[in-house]
Amino acid sequence: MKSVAGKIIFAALSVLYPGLVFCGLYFWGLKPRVLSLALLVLALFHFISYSKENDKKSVSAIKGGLFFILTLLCGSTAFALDSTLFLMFYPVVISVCLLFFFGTSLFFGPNIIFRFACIGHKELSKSALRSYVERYCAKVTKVWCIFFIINGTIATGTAIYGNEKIWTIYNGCIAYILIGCLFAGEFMIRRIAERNQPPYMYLSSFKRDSRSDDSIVAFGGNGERDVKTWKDFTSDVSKLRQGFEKMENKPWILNFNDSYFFMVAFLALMQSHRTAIITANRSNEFIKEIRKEDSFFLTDEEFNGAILIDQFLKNNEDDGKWPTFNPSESNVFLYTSGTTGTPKKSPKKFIQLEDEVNEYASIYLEKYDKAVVIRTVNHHHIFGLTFSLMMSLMSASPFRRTMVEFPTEIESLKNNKLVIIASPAFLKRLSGGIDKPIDFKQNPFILSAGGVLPEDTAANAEKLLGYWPSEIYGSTETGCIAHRQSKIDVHYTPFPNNSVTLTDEGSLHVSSPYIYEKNGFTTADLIKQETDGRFVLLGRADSIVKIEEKRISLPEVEMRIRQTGFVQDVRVIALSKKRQFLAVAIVLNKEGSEKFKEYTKLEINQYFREFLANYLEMTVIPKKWRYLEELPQDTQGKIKNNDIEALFMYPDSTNKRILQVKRDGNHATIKFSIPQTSDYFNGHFEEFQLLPAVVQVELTMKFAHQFLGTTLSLKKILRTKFMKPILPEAQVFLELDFDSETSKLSFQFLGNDNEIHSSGSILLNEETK
Amino acid sequence: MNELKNKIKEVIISVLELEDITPEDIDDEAPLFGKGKGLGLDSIDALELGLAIKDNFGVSFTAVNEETRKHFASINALATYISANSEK
Repeated sequence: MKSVAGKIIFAALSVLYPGLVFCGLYFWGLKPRVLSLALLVLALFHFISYSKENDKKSVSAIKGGLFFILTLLCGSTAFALDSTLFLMFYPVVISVCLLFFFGTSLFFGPNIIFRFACIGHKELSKSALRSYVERYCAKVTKVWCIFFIINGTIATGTAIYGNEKIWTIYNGCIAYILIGCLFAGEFMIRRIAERNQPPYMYLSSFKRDSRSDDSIVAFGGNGERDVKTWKDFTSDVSKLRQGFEKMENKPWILNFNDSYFFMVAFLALMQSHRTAIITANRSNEFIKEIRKEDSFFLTDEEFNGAILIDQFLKNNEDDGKWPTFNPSESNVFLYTSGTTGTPKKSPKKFIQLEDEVNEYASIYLEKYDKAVVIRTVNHHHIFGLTFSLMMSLMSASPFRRTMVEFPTEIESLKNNKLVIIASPAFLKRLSGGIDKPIDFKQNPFILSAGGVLPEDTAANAEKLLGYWPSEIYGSTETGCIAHRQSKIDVHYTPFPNNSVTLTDEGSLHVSSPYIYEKNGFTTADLIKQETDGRFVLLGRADSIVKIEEKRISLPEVEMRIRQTGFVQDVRVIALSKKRQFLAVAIVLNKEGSEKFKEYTKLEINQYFREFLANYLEMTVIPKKWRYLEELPQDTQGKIKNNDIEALFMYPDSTNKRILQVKRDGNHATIKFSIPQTSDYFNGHFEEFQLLPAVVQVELTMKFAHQFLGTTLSLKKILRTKFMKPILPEAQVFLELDFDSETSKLSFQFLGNDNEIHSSGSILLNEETK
Repeated sequence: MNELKNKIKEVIISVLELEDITPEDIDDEAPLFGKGKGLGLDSIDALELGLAIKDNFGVSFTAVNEETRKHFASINALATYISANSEK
């Protein structure tokens, strides 16, 4: 209470100071020395406010200190010299100090006017429109700075050259009128500025007239006729809504080629209070599986048992209504990964999707202003849905109705301000379609989500498209968590409302308002976190891998392969050579061996591939196949990933077939067979085919390289002994022993009956590392 | 034409590092992409293949539309497109 009263006296004294001085001198006949006491009181007030500052180095404290010193200087000089002139310098002091205060805030933001604005609108600092408001406020701050300079100059002039009357009229009256005019003028200009902000709003707050009828919502790849306007959109949503309302209340599965119709259906479902289930996977088996829970299926492409959107659009009239809905009570289900067979739904409330977009917009809204949005990612997955479609509608930027599949398609849009929602997989292949930089009218904004973008890929994107892609880290369950532009900082910075912590296991835990689970979500990603919250990713903690940005659970692929009923054991691994792909090692069971007896290897592959195609997308169907008698393992029977990987080091050859691998450290036993047709038997003895010694040495070295990691460089053959020929179709065990001290590799070829075919030892060249 | 088809098959096998398959195993009419009895290539393979065809035959695919998809449908379709578009 005391401090409030003090502040009022302080303010009144400051404002009325010119009048007080004038009255004192003219009407009350006071000496300047007496009036200077008023200045000393003001100085005291400034000192008190300075001393209350917690951080003495803050701009605000320095301003307080400056006020105090200058006021004290004027006051004490006026007192000492009994000088009117120094009394009249106080308005100059005010201008100088405020100029300092406002001016520095332009360099060490946020600027002063924006800070004032945030006091009145607490939500502003987190709003997606923040950057717009802040920029506008910076302009206003600058105008004030100019005013302080002019006002300070005039005040100085009136003090030195004018008389007390002129000084009082200006500083006690005109200056205040000018300040008033400035406030009024700014107020009117603000109205206009607000109109120039992007018309950004939540989808659930849309009204039918939120956009003008002819504003473009979406466009196609084929010119004018594919353009859809706000009028089309509202009318189609209305038709669909009525369609939904006429039907029984069941959840609706959505899968669309056309993003425009997808959004029409999505919004209409929300308006009719129906649950939306969004899936990218539309294979027969998958849809059948998820429809075990009673639901309708709406799509824009013929599908058995589905309802086509055309029917709804044809059979219903636009009723002109636009019912609102409560986004906190509207249910949406997304699939974490449409690429796996097991339907794993991730529940969302519509408001959570909107909040996520808003979080994203708080950083990137500007990029969407008057831009057109294209995507190379699937709109049924979280970031395709939120960052391309929902964000486009919320910020009134037209989106492209179909996915961009080839880099060359970007060039045709080079005259637009572009937002490109891409995946690392697409960006990796930019050079495949674009060989020289595109001369954009304005460089596009590129967002990469769905996996880590390697820096060389980002650099290449910058070279060809003129923008080093920004990256989003997040997942279906969590929405966007953090962002980065690796050119500036390799760390990910969490979005403002995301609280990221490290679990005891080293995984990332995140909580945010748009995560369905109230306690937040622990991801499978291992991270290293800095004290300020930023982090780097260290890899995935579980067996879910990403194949070209498609998330796939390896155990699930294995489970599908087992479902054929022909498999005794199976192990799927992810390999990364020229591209990422899955490879699989299979042990057939009795039924399997029986069924595939007459099949070629290609035909067996084909069988499994066709089976998996019912559940998985093409990209994650394994590319390389090995059929063995037993999975590679150590003597304890433990299967290790690097032993499985070793199976795929060389392309599978028809010359030999690996049946078993047992490895412990530098010792390995490989069981393999050599078919009659093998090239190994060619050109030696026409009548009597046997495995030549030179091939045995070659096999020894290659197998050792493959499973023991030795070099392929032979120094010397120490000794060899060939006792019994190896004949076509024979099954052979090769025992390898490598001594890393001496680089000596011992080998022994054994028959099924444990008889020794040959043995020996060779010296390898030491590995040059 | 048969020589061209064989060359295309060889390019497909080597560039996509296909295993267990020889040019003889590839049916001229079988679909290259997607599910079913064909090679089962995916969209990433398509990009690689488009590049390889440009490198090997000097024929490029610019815009992607229904037309391009048709050219990629089978060995026969590819061969027809390449022979029609390559410089004689």
